[in-house]
Amino acid sequence: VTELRCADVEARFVDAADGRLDPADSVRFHSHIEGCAACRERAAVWLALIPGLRAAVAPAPDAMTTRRMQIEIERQVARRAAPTPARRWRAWWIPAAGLAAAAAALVLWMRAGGHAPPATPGGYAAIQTLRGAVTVGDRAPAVAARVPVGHAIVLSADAVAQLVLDSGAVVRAQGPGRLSFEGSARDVAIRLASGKLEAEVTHRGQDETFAVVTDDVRVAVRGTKFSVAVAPSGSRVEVSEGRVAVERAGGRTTLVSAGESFDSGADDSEVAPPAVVTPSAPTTSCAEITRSCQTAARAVRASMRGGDAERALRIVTDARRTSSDADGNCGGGARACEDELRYLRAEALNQAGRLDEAVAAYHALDGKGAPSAMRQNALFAVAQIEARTGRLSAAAADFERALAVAPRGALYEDALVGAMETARAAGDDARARTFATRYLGEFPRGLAAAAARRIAGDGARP
Amino acid sequence: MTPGPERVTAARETLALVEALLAELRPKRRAAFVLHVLEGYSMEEVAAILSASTAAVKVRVHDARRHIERRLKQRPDAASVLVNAGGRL
Repeated sequence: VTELRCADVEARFVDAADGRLDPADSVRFHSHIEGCAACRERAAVWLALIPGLRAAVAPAPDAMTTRRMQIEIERQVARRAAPTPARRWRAWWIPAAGLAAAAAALVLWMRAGGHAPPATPGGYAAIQTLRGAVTVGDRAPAVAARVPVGHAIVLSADAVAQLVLDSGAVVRAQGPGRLSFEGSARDVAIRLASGKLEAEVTHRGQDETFAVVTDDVRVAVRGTKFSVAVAPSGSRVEVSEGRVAVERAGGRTTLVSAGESFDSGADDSEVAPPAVVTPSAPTTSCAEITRSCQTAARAVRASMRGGDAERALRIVTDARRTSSDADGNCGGGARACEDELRYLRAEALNQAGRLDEAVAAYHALDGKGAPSAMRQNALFAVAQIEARTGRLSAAAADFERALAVAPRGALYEDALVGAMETARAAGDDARARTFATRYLGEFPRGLAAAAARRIAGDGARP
Repeated sequence: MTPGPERVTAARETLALVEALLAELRPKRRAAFVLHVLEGYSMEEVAAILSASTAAVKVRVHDARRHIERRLKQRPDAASVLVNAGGRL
């Protein structure tokens, strides 16, 4: 294995902070800094500074801004690419060289954040939120950083780390404690040396396993919500949903169902019946829910910029499950973030090529009282998909609805052109003329004015 | 939720601090540093964007980093402000 020089190590600080080092590079990186005091000190400084520098500058654009930038890029490219006004508009939304260039430009732009970790290197879990002092492999991790298999996660008192696994499972560790991820993405094994963790495991495949291993028990689960705490007296397992199998060192297995708990230190180690639970105030405050939602939205955007739409979808699914605790009890900030997540989900489905699901998700936004600008974005996006896939009548209806929900919205002009072009492509010349006339009345010098004049049968007028 | 005035003030001060640090950098170094460290582009991507060689970008980022390290050594309070800003994520 080629060793890294100090300059090479320094050039990898950002990749290390973002969890983007591949396993071989990670080994070389860490073996160098373990033997080089100067690099070790410098790495500690920069791994702590990078999140601070990023937090201080403007955040990445939200999903709606991204959509508008995409449209603007396409519009600019179309403007430059087409020699005649009539062909110019077609180039904007029919796959062509101009659109390909726009897509390339967009991909470049969407990679701008570059904070998204790769899909597989560096283990199968990533840090979603952090609170308090937490180290991974003796280093302070960044949000969204991958957690390498075998690296110890150490939490100080009151520290909390929430991690999301590639499978979509979520693990929340509370300090003081120490744990590590072993096994693989298909056979998850979390070794809990001390402290407490809560896990929410869903959608495990038939041949996949998920287990939490302590000194005295192995808790095997399949689709459930549970917690494991390690104390000097033994391990305690509590199940909120579903059922887990607790295997003891002697081979004895006990099933623990929802509402039940199990203490390995108890004399008979029997399952305790569900306790009588009285309603209590939510343990998660609205501020925490909002912050968690915003962190998730950032992670989703980063994943999409990195081209990993499926990972983005997993994060959205998890975040929406968490934020459902709020259920309207929190204020506008939480609601706005929830709307943003729903919009991001639709965009991620679109990016993943799951177009039918994307169409449903965009339409759902229109029906659930999202802000009018967001509804216009969603309707415009869904109309584009429908037009691209030949569903012209549906596209026409959605372009028209996009016009109606936000007459002063940023995409109004684009939606008007979409309605005009779609009506024309569907053979509804009368409707196309209506939209063309309307366009010329409102945007006489607009990008599509020449096309509109032609459709309106008024090409001679300047 | 609207952040409280103290948080807003702290965020503004942190932003001003970062802007001041960046302003001290030579333009080529600043561009490379911002693209790589703040925006997360790889060295190769930065090189493509700036029409420079990867080696040149590495040197620019290295020089920018050294400059910022020197400035933060002179102002340990600023370094702790930046580290704490990361903790507020």
